[in-house]
Amino acid sequence: MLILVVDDSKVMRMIVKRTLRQAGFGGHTVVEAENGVEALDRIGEKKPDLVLLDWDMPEMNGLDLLRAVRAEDKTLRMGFVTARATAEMRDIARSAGANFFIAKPFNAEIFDEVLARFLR
Amino acid sequence: MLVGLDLAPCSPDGVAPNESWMFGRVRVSGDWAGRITVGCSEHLARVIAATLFCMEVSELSPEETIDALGELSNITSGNILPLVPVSARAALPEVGAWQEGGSDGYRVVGKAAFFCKGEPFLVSLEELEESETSPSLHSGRF
Repeated sequence: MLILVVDDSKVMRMIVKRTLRQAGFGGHTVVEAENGVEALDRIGEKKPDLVLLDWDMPEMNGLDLLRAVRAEDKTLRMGFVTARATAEMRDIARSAGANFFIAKPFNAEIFDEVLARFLR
Repeated sequence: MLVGLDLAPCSPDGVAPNESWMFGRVRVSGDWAGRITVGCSEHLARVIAATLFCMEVSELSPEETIDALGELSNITSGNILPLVPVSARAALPEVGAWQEGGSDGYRVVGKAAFFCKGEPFLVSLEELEESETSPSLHSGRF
């Protein structure tokens, strides 16, 4: 499977990739994007199977990206990996079509628990 | 533990930031206005960044240190904001040279300090003094 990691922080993209490996998902291919605009391009080009989104990003944030994708594609598996993890934001994410929500900081056990249904 | 870093709580009273420190900061707006700041020496910021990137300190670029400290402030603010009892939105992180709060229109309402890799790491919560609509938070440690 192809996983797209969208986060404006280089270190967080690296931590997400490392955590995916630690959770046992190292056999999947990972591509990256720094913001929502770049992610839209990647989604069009690469056709990922799963998208992990940060919430706050320059250019286009994760929520706007999710809404843009959901306007045309209800099936792509997308969810948030974000520090903005209030109940209000979880509700907004769910309403916009997010398949999952992971709060930072996270660990491999959480990735396994949340993402196994999409990646195994 | 924060993103793989062991933190031991200590008194913020004994922590004295100076010009060698850096900060990562997230401004907050909405029903409460303020900012959440993390700070440490530039040396510790580089050590933390190297740990997060799994690199040697000598291999690290200044941009990677800034990125790591910004992300730490992002994660820290994301875990503090739900404790603010009103609706508030966080901006993107800023990183720069340390400035002590309380002198530029913000009032410190909470402070916490930790030892990380043998050096102090400071977290502060400040509210905007000029905000007329914002409910004040009680001062204290968190």
